[in-house]
Amino acid sequence: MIDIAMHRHPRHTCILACVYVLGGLTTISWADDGAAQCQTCHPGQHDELAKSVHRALSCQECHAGAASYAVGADRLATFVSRADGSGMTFDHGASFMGKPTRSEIPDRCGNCHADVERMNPYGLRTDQLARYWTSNHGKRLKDEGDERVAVCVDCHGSHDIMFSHEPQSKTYPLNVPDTCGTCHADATLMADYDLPVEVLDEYRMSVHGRLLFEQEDTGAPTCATCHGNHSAMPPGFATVGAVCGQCHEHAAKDFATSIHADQEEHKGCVQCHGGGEDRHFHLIERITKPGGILLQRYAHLLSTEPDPSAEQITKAIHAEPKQIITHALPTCMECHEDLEDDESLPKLFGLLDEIAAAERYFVETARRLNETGKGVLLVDNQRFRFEDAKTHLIELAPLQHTLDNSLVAAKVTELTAVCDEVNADLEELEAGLRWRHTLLYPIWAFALFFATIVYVKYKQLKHIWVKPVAR
Amino acid sequence: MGWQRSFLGFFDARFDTDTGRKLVEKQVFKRLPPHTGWLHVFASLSLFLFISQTVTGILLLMYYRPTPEAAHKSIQYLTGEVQFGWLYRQVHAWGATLMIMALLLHMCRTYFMGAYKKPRELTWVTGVLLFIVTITFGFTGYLLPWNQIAFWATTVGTESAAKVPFIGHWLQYFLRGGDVVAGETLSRFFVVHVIILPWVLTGLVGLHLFLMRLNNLSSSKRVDESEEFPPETGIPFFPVHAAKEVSVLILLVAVLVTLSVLLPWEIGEPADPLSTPSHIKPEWYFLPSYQLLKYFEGPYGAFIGIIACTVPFVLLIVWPFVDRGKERHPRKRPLAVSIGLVGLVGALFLGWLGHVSETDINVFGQRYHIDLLGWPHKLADGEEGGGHDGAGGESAPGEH
Amino acid sequence: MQYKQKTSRRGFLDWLIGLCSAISGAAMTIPSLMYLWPAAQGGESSNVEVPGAENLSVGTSTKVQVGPRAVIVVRGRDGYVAFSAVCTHLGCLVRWDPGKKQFLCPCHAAAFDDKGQVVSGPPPGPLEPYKVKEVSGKVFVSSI
Repeated sequence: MIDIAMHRHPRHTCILACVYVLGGLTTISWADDGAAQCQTCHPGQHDELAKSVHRALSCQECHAGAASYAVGADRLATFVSRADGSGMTFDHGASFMGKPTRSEIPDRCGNCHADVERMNPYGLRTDQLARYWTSNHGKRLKDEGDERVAVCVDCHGSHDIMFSHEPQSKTYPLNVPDTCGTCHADATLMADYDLPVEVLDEYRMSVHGRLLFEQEDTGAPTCATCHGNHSAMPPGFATVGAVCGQCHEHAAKDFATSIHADQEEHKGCVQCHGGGEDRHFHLIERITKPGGILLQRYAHLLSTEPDPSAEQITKAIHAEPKQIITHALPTCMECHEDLEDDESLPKLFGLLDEIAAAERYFVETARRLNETGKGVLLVDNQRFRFEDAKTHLIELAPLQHTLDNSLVAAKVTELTAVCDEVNADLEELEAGLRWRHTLLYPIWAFALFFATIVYVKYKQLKHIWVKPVAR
Repeated sequence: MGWQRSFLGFFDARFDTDTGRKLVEKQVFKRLPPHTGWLHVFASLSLFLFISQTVTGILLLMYYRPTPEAAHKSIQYLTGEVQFGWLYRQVHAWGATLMIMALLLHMCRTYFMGAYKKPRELTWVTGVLLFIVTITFGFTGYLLPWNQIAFWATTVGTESAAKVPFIGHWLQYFLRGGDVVAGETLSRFFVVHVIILPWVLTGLVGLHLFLMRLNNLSSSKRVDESEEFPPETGIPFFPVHAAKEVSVLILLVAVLVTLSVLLPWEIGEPADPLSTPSHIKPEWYFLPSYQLLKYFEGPYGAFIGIIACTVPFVLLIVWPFVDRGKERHPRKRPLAVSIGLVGLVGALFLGWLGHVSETDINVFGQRYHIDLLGWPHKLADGEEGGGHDGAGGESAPGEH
Repeated sequence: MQYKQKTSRRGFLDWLIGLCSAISGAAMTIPSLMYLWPAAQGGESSNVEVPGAENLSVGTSTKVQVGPRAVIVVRGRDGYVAFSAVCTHLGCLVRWDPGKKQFLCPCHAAAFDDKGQVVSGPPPGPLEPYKVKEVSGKVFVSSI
């Protein structure tokens, strides 16, 4: 194997050889001849490395130098650095590169991680370094020599790097906001860059942050999902739709067809969903509510009010039916100065009642389906059909971004139609239960008649068989 | 009737059919004491319901699958898809309840009429055992649909087994087939319900009937008096008493079908070991024990609680040997009747308390919240008693 | 005379009781026979989710159990199709050949096209089609 590698790339042969030879040696603290090894003086780093993803690597991979030094234990003590820094400098050898400075770190990591051949066996991508240089972090480091920007170790750790799927990792989804927050929530540091530190708290309160922290959904978007990780950069308003659209595919597509998409002043998604300009656009919030939340609210309403009216249901499930207006009103008014007289506005808002009615119908049908299923009927097929209603309801939200009333109205009709169908099915099933009730009348008529004639027979038989007891 | 003769002749030529025929005829036409009346039909009703349970049980087994994955689905399937599946399931479920009611009424009749006295003590003992076996039937069968209520009622029910002194935890582990109610519990309860108990009950019923026939039914005479009656005044079991019972049975079937149609047992949601529904209560016939257990807390309390729940059953078994009075007529045994009435009313009251505990009730327009132990708390208008439920639920007997 | 009248009335009563007993017996027996008659099979397991169907690349197949039947699901260009995997010839399970775009039966070299129609071999009829439904990224198969 070494032979093959040698033909290809001499340097890698050396590295490979080092991995094989030194990989074995690092496990021994003292060689037989009493020579000192790296961990003799750097036990902490050694232990961290041993637990990290790089545990198969030797110190020399990143720091060069020798793997073992012919220094006895007695002499070694003189080199150990003292608190006042007065110890003798240890000579690590000519090749030793030492601890990289912050500006050296990206290239040091890139030695391996930007090397396609080196990364191939691990199936890792190699564009992180290139991407890093495109990030604001990388640019400042390279162009301005600003060493305060984030480099590899700030997010990944140095000796203690872990896979991002491990919960202790700094890049584990639940830890990402805090990892970024190390700098981005630091007011003194951010002041120099004129960046808002409130973004982290805004994120925490946002729909995404709640998903991540409250429901521990590791699939929820973190900072890196929208800003990129190695190429970290705030998306501009021109590109924000593309960023959001990576997940919110339908909404982005539908929004792109709307009249707003062409307006240069319109900030795209964050215009309405970003919590407003004064909130730095990180307080991302939904305006309509998905089916699950509607059902929860309906169930809650029913627990206090067993027989609610249509208005009560709408109010309860859709707590803010006109929220889009109140929420986005100031923003809308920036362009639509005369909101009251503007012909283009009320037509969309006029559909909100229909949408609310369809949502109400949805929760009522879902509830009925659930109750019937718990009873004595088999409603698997109806449940399956109702999946369509859920799909329509989910599609209804992005469709509103088109600002096209006919499309929204068509979707509302589709949703209502599925609910109608399910309700009709349930009606039919329940009608099947009613004939059982009807059947009770002939059964009782028969039973009473039968019991009576048997009783008459009993009287007769008693008369024939039994002699009355003399009193 | 030529074929009949040749058919019976086939057996006559091979077996001593005369003896057998005489034996059967003697039993069938046996004369019951003259005072045998309507109250005696509860025994036959119980027996009929047992047969009905067996038949419907076998029918249900045709579609039922005793695994946690399939049990609930198979019940849904047999209720929703199979012709008349709903009927057999409902008749089986209601049959169980009615059977226990019939047994209780039969026991009351026997108790208050002093029919358990000499020489019928052992008949009474087998009867009490039959009752215990029947409620065990109810307990094991309740889990089989594998729905939320069944799962958690069984969890709570087996939890109280842990209170049995010394062997409690071992007993609970054994009952559940593990630490928690799971697939193993279902298998165990299934086997007990469909194989072990049916045969135990059949054996006990046989013994009970045999003993009953040996001594005939009890009269109301004193124990030391002769129970003989002129044979012609006795009521032949067949056809006279049987006709009386059949007329009641017909009505029972109608009641069973009516209950099945009008008050169907819901299939419920599939069991979810991760979410406990609120207000888990056992079946009505366990409510007195359930409520009684609540009053005993702590290690010694639990000890006493279990004993308090066991004593009534032990007392029932040994009662004929305790009450050795000669009188049978209830008016002549005021003490025994009083004890019986107190026990009965006590059980009914405890059962009612268990039923209303942790709920809100209305008394003359004033709402009360009944707490875990059955104490009422006045509620202001519009106030909900639900808040107490959470706290109450935590100290329910099963939760320790 | 009086005695005779009595017996005839008694006879009618017995006849009536016999009739009612017969009706009751039938009312109990017939439902139980209907109950025992197998209900539509697979009713319990309709709408089976095809595991991993969303990761299936175009042109490849997977098998899934629907009730008692094995069903083969193929992801085509226009979505999923599903057929009973039981060959109509002798009941062997067919497999999907992505290259030929055919279902091949290993037993007697029968071939069905991507619509389940017989291309070659001994099968007497086409593969039984199954209904496929896509719901929010998941694929469900049910009998038609």
